[in-house]
Amino acid sequence: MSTPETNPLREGMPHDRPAKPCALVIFGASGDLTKRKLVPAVYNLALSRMLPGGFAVVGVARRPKPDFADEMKASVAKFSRRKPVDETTWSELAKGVSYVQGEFNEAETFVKLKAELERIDAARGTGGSRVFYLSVGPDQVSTIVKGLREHGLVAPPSDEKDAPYQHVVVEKPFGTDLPTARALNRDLLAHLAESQIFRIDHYLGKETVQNIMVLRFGNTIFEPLWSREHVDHVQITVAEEIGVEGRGSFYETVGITRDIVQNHALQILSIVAMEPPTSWDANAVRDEKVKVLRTLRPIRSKEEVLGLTVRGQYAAGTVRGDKVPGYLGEPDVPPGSRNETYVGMRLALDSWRWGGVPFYLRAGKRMAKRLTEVAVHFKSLPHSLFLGMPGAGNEPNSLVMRIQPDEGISLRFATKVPGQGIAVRDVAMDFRYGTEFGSSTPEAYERLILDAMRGEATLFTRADEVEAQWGFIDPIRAGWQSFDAPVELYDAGSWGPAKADALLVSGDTWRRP
Amino acid sequence: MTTGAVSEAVSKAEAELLAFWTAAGDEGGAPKARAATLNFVAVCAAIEVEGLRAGIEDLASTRAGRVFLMTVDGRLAPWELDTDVSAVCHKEGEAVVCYDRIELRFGAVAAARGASVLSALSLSEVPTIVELGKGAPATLADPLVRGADRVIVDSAHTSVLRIAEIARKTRAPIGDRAFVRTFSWRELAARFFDEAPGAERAIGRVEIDRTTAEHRDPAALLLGWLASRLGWRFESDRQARDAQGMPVEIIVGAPRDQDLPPGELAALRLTAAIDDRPLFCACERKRGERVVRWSMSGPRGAVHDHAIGHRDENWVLLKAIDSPEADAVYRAAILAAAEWTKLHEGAPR
Repeated sequence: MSTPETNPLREGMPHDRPAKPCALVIFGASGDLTKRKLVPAVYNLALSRMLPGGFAVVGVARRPKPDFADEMKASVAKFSRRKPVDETTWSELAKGVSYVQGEFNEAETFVKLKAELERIDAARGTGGSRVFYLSVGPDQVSTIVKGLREHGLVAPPSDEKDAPYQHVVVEKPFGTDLPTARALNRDLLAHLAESQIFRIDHYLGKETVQNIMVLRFGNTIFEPLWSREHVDHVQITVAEEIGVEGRGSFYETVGITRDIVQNHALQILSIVAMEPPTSWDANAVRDEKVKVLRTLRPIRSKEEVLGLTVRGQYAAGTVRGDKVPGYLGEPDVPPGSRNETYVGMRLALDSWRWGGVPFYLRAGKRMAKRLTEVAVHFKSLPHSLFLGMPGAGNEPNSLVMRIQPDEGISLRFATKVPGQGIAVRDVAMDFRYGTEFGSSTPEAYERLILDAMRGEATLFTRADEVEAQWGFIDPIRAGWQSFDAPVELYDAGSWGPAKADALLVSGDTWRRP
Repeated sequence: MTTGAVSEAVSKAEAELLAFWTAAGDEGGAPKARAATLNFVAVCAAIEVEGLRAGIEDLASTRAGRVFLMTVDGRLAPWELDTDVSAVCHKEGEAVVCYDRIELRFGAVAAARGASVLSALSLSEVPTIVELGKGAPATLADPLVRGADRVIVDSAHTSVLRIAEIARKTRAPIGDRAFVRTFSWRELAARFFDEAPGAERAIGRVEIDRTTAEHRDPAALLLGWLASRLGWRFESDRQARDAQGMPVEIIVGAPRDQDLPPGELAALRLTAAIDDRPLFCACERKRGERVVRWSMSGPRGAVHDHAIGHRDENWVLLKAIDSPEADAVYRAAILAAAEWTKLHEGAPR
């Protein structure tokens, strides 16, 4: 296929060029993610004309699904961001939808899949290019990748122009700790090249996470301030209102540290703290992100684990005016569980840029409100010209990047209150995505599926990043066990346990967004 | 009325804006927040004001900013300027977010000062987008276009010759609503050469079926786009010469078996070649549907149906404002379209 550079009629069309014709093969096609996110994302890409001609979707799962296409249409009708369903777009998409039933560990499944893909190649011109989306549990990933390789469904990548490609998208969790992550990477790399593996962390597909990089590296005014010279501390908050939503037994095996901190929160931290990459190239960006993870000062000793981290668990409380049970009152949570639903940390980065700047990180369920944000707090004035005057010197400047909801950026600064004397008041200069750009922002999965088809890996996680994340998290979790770290209770609907305040350096306070 | 009348009207509008923005946004005394990404200036004939007003409300609700609605009103005295300032507020969380709208109706002579009035009342630091609506009077529009950061037109109601004239008068990028509406046609045409790279250099025949409306021919812009992208020079309205000097036959006609409203494209057929073997490419609208059948035959073959969909005009306007990647392409296309139109209008019938 030609690219915008070689097809003169593509010049001036949106930057997001169509991918090569390919088939998207979804393993775990009967799962919730497929219904809620993947199929609506594919439909929205079709509606935006981002899919190549001949594009096909093949679902693979254990259950028989004679009405797979109809089920997918129902999912689109229910979960798509754009409604109602456009019949022509759907019917054209549906022509390329098919289903293969089978167990992932049985050779017959892959034989049937291969035959189906060969049929699609002939009928729709996909030419051997496929994206295999593994929307399955981590224990099934290696089996599937092995099956794909053994049945000739993936081949080593080729540098030849117009060669077909096979990319494999892997959903989190990427292992449950460093040894399992390494084992998973080893299994994947035994059958695939790293350039064929797309580890998805959907936070990276969010417009506002990408906008952190644009804010930092697309403007001249912020980057000179982005260091220990001017930044006092940084707070990263990933808060959810919801509890475990009936998935108590699943959550018992995860906890918030593995569910949120190891991936989303550390990804956000690495984007906030990274050095400017040399380009938007996948490896250039990921090289810088992984450097940040390697500069995270390890938390290992008893003093470090108990002094720099707090784990907590929600007790009964009130969220959005509704009374809700505590974690121990949730279905399928065993009595006396010490699983954490909150974690707070004070992190240090041993680097020239960030030496001495605390990064406070907190993530929790059943918090006061759903919110993900990064707040950069700048240093106080070295000398206050307006000392003693009304309102002066209360708050240093801060820059808040809201990732969800109400996506935007807010800069707080002091201004003179109009009048004869000098009185100072903080005001916020507020940029809201919704107000400025409307509400038609693509979903993270749309961007990420398209990137996987085009082989653009910038917004995906590399093996060494995953291992660096686990390498930082594992000693903390081990320390909680070894040193019997208390599980601090907090009221549902609060901002976490009071003990988390002790993490803060004197003078700092947690934001109450 | 004297020249003082215009400045008095401007002062009155400024005072009303000041009063609005200094008043609290709610009973608790919270300040209002201004949502402003642009100055949007819509210029149109007096008779079109009502229709344009509704469109502007839609725009303001998705791209907040200061909105101007400007026209020349023959009922006013020549030097008179009539202003009407209003604002809309809504709550976003704790914040009261507002945007304002200023309607300016100029007398025939005062219209020449429209650009000066706009300078006084527009917000600084945000771009000024000027849209030329239906029947936008040149006395008012032309000076505004020269100072605009972006100009929006609609070749569905403004002739490509007039738009080309505007393009020559301003360096500001131009967005065309009709160019946005016909994106699907161009995108589907581009797909032929995703599938058959290089074949676009061997196009020998272009056939466009369309309906026309009051001297507005949608074929012009499509041909202008093809010609400017592929390096064609028009020799007549029926023939161009491609970048290699080979002839390209052009056939523009009415749709067969189609009952479309005026100004719609019905089909684009290209005859190209791969290794001297003819490649037939067609986008043909299906009868009674907003669906295009895309087909290739010859050395490559495929058939797909694509919805050309319907986008509301607010979406179209937002795309015309927010798609700078197409600016250079559009400018070249409209100038080429004007060349073809001149040949077409001068051609013997």
